[in-house]
Amino acid sequence: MKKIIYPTLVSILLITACEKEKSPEPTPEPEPSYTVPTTYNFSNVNYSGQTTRLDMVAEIKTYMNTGNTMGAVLSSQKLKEMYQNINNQFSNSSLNTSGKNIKSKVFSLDQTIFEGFMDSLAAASISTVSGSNGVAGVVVSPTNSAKKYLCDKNGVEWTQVIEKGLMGALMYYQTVAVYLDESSIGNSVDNSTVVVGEGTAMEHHWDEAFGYFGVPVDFPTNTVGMRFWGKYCNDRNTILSTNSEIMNAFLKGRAAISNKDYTVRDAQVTIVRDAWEKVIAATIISYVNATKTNLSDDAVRNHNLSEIKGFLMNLKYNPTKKISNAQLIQLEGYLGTNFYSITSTSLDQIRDLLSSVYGLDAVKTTL
Amino acid sequence: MKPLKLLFLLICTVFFFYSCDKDKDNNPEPDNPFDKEGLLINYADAIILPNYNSFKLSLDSLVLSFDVFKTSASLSDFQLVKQKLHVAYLKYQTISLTEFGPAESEIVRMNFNVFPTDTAQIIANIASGTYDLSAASNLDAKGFPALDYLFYGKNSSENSMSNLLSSSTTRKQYVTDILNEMTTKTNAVITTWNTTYRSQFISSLNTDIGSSIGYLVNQLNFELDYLKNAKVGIPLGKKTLNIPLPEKCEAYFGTQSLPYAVATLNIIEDIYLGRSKAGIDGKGFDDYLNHLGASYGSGTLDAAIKNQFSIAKTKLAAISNPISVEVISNPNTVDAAYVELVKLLVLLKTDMPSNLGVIITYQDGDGD
Repeated sequence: MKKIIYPTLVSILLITACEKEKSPEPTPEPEPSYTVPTTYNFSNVNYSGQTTRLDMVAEIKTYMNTGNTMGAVLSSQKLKEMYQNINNQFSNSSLNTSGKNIKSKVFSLDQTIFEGFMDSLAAASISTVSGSNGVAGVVVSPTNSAKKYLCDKNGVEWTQVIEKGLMGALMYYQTVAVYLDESSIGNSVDNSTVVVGEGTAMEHHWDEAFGYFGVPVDFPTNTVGMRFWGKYCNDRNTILSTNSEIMNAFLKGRAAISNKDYTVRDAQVTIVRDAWEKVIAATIISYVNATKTNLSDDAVRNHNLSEIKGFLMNLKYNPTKKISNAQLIQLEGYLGTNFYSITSTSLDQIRDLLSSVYGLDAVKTTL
Repeated sequence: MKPLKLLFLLICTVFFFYSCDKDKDNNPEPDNPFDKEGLLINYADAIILPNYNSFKLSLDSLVLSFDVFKTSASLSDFQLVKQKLHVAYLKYQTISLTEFGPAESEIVRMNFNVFPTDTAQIIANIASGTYDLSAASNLDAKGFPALDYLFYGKNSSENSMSNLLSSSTTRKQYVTDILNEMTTKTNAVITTWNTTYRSQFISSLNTDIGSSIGYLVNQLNFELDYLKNAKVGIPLGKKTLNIPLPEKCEAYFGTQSLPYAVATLNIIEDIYLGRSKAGIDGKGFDDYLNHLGASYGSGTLDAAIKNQFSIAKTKLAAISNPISVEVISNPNTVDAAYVELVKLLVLLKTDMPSNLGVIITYQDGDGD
């Protein structure tokens, strides 16, 4: 009976195509002849490897945050061992024995730069004085003493760069460049042999991509448990409406793969890649705006600029990115290397370049 | 609407019958069986064994020429060694995909051709003089890629490489040890084929997992995946957001990446067609697919595959040697070949096996 579905779909598509020529007004996308569920409750779904790695990044972040108290010294060796998952450094022992690690899944050419960031973070943590321009140490907001961040002598909060950088080099990269790539879900990948608990190879790769999005299976109706990208996507949702856009694409793509509808699958890849990239650009713009209103608060400004530094790195990981490499270098130039000397003008340059590339001019001041 | 309804019915009917055909193909015609024994005899006697024997001759010749160089230390003998290495490496491409039976027991692929080679490990091994080439940690410090490095070096002149080799006892020993291991493994594979494996191979007349046809189809596709990824895609930057990695090329130091890639595609085509080492088109998967009446679009699957082989070969041949230079100076040409290899892979890895009733069992792509 299943075999009937495909010809029917093709026929429906054909008929719709004919009707399209007759009427100039846009016709809605034809409904697929299979059901697209409203939650990620498909059979044989397993993305535990992704959940494990999100847990690892979360624990690394928790450890790095302890450096925000003056006098707390961080160990770069411990950080690197957590990154590689050696010597049982996680307090959650199931992570130590998971057989997974972060480093090997980070974009191969950037695997070692994070170790360099970890060295920089640990080096800053040795300081026993408050941070200021030219001096590493914890920087406290004059208006809110709860806002205190460990920065290096240039005001870089490496904890943010590492966490946001890993969101890009691991989660976003693995999703848009590895799992949603031809080598993982292309037509030469097996989509007929079902492994119990994991589905076909193609289904499994799609599920693993979804696993890195960091949302509950009934997102966005339910937002409890969302983290990393799920959280940032939700933060921009009022303006971008990307919650349901990305979630629906994941749902539709999975249903399409299970029904061997590869045209619809490929369309969902484009939706996920484009919408996710837009979330990153919009997030950077929102931090630019936050920086502009807190320009004289060293702690908040440094913190926000460090978020920007991490998110800016991420834009390169999309194989179909809208921004050019030359523009990325331009953006890094605007951000500069010393966060104590950033100007309002260069912040505007970052915002304007991004908003023009990503079609966000109309909302650039409200993001 | 009437013509549309007719069209709808027609399409449904066509697809319905097409689906029925497919079902039938999964249990290939019991009443009119294809001569699978003839197919396998052709593979064994006209392709696989002649290629092994030819490879063995060239490997023995390489060993012999290196022995001469070891005593003479002359530059002309060194040049001969390099020529012999090239011939053996080229012929190796014709046996690489036969990784089942005795070759699988000897793990030929992993022992003969892991690239890029670990030059630091090679240097450390030679310096220490104590190493176990059979250890897993040395898989990327031996075989053809290691010889490629030891004979050519990085940005080194022929003279300096010749002197370096002839003046160092440990270096000469290292090359000798690599060659000995390759000779032992090659001889073991050929002996087993000649004594027991040939009869086992040609009498395995099913298409299930562990059958000869199952092995061949899987390894044919493994080799094509390997060509697409390791020999073309990775150097081109397909795994690194289009940042090319020329040093990941096969035979990077001796710069023979393109002829080896072409040889790989040729042997894949030979196996598909059942084309003998002498160039005679015998029983192959093409005949098998035609026997089953496998269709593709409005034509036969065989025609689609042959056409795609032809396109892929043309695009691959359009690349200038070596690929390591082309991925920088002419990436579009390399990418064009990559795209056609992907299309060929779809035909050989999904359409052909589903018609033959073969399951692809090897793992590829990321996943965990």
